Amino acid sequence: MGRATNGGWELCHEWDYPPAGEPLQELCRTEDARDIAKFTADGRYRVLKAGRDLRSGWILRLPSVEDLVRAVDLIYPAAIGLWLAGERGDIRVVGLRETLSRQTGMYRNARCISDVGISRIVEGRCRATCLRKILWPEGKARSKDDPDNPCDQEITLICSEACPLLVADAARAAKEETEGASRIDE
Amino acid sequence: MEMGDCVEKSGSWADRKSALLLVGHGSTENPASSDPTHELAQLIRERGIFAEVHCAFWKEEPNLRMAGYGIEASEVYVVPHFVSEGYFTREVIPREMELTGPTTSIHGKIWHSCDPVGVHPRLTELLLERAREIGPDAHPEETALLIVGHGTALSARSTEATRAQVRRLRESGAPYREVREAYLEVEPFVSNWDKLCESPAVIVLPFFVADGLHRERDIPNLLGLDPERRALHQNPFRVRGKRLYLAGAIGSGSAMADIIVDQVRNFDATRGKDQ
Repeated sequence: MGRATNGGWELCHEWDYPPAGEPLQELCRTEDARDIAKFTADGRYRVLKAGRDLRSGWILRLPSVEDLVRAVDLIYPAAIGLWLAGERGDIRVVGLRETLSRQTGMYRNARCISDVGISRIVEGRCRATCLRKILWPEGKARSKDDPDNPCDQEITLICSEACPLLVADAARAAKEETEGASRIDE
Repeated sequence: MEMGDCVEKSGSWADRKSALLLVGHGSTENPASSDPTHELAQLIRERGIFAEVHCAFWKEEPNLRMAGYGIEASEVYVVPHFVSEGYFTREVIPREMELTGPTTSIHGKIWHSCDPVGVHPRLTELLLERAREIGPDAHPEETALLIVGHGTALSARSTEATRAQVRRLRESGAPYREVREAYLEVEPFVSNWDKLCESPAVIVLPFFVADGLHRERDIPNLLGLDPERRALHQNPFRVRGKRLYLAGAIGSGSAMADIIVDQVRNFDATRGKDQ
């Protein structure tokens, strides 16, 4: 993001800065940011907004810094607030086991997932697909090659607590573990 | 005085720098599921009566746990964009947002838990307007209104809002021959709609805020609609010997925005806050 020559603000994908080559799709409404974040370049629904699959090829021109902040918030929900809270030392970190233990209904069994299961889903969901920096303890076990930040970012995207996507993954994995154990017992 | 006028003239929520947080369900499969909530937030934002207007979701971002980080205001009115007081409004939302009562002071903010939109009396009028729009050729004296809610075994109260709407529709004096209720997951099941309704014509009104998978896939399947024909949204359909009209979800127009604002006003009125 940066100042435009007319005094407004511009927001684009880092791959499109500085501008070169193919012309960018010009957008000018703050709400356009939600559309940018909703689908991948090949039209798949992006539930994980901090995913590594944000499409490029657009530039959003906005008149005010308030519009810019809102646009960033639509692309990376709550990211600025979390980053500011982190700068103040005011983030509430919640461990994955605590998150899973309070689930009810269809996700109640997520608490039964094994530690090995947790490592697998964190690797598969978080490390493979998400740009957020994990603060909760179960997500911090890493190989010696993992960077401290997943990428070089001006504003760090922060994960203070496992999201509902990971909770759903845990519920599925716990069910598979239980069914696998039942088959062995038979 | 029209609903909404009083609040807009006083502007007290904006003066107090209060925020409105609309809480929706969202979906990991249907990208359009959260659209009504976002559209309503934008409508209300444009009215300028709150210092901030935000959305949060159970299944989308910002989720219920991260929502507070995106709000600068120290006072937040939480309005669930749900039609019923059931599992989500009574258990999931309070649990995830750590709301312990009508007003909760936590994490440096004051959170007010307002009633969900589904329990507002104005919804009855919206449903009747929808019935007239979708079935203009249906003669009320030979037509049933069938209100379809979700229902869930997880909450004994999940059918209360739908049942209450059916009662209000019957009491409204609307000329329809019958008004019935049906559900996706509890009895009476929507799959038995033709036995539940005696009338030769039935207008099905999904009691959902958004046209998600329930409206687009589950309800048509359970009604017995031809998958190819229903994709064209051609009302009425001829199914099981009856004429069937299928409406969309409640929607996100200015009338629904008025309801949301009214739920905030009602909260203040019942808790004795000045406006």
